[in-house]
Amino acid sequence: MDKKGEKLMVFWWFLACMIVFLVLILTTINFFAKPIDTREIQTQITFSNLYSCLVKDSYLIPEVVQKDFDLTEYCNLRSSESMQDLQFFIQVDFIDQESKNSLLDNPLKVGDGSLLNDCDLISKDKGKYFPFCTRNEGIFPIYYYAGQERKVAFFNSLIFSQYYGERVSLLKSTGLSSEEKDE
Amino acid sequence: MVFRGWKLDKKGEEVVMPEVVLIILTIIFFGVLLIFIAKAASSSLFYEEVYAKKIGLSIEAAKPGTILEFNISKPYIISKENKFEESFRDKFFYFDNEENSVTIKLASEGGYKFKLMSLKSVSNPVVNIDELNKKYVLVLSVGK
Repeated sequence: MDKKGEKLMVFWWFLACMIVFLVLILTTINFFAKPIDTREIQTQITFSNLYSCLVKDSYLIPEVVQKDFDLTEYCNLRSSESMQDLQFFIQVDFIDQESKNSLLDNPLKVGDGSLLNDCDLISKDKGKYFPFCTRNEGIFPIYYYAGQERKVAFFNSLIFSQYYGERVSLLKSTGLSSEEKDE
Repeated sequence: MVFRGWKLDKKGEEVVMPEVVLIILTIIFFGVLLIFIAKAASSSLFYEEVYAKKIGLSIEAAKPGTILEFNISKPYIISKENKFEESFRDKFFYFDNEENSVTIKLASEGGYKFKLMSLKSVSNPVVNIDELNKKYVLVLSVGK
């Protein structure tokens, strides 16, 4: 190879190195800068907690069908406003197996319902800008009493989350829980 | 130009020099790249998020009365790299019982906060550091 050819080879070698270098650096930054997506586990844990709270020994607790039933208070959940801030939503309904009618006047709702329509879009375009939705319909049968008669209903729920957690810049933590701090 | 006792003439220098420069630059390039990836992989930012979510979701899933134990050897090693090991025992884990959030801290600045959807509380969080047996654990009790 003559001198000109050598110089040309060196140029292409450096260009190839630079491209590999840049691609690897950008991939690494992209990988570590992305928030870890735990929304699916979050919604599944919330469903599991709700099921344990509202169903005892496969029977729906009778308080649920009362008009003044407060889901957040009974199941020890965050307030609806607080869940709205965290872009989290819970909807629970109980559908009778035979009549297909709801046992409630209105489904129990907690949190930010404005993103509800996005749950239908999620199957088309899955991404971090869409909430993660866990929908359980007609999957979990439970017993309930209608008068003296034992009937079967389905525990239907729709839980979605768009909460990733947050980075805090300055922290005044002590490492102890607030309970202990007060003592 | 002299290479360990043997001498190159001007023509030899012209042939060898670009090759040597090329090899040195390539080594520097990939050296920097490896250091960057290793730094990113052991970054406190990444592990703060991992452990905040891991511990937060474990508390969320636990029944009241459960005692949870976490192996925290990896965060301890990272905090050592960040010269944070002295404050690690006190500041690594913080649970705000009013806000119901877990905050994990592996460096003197910053941290990662993960809020729970349920109003569970945490009591008696203890960070046990046993340097002799290389055992590093966080123990906490989940309340209602």
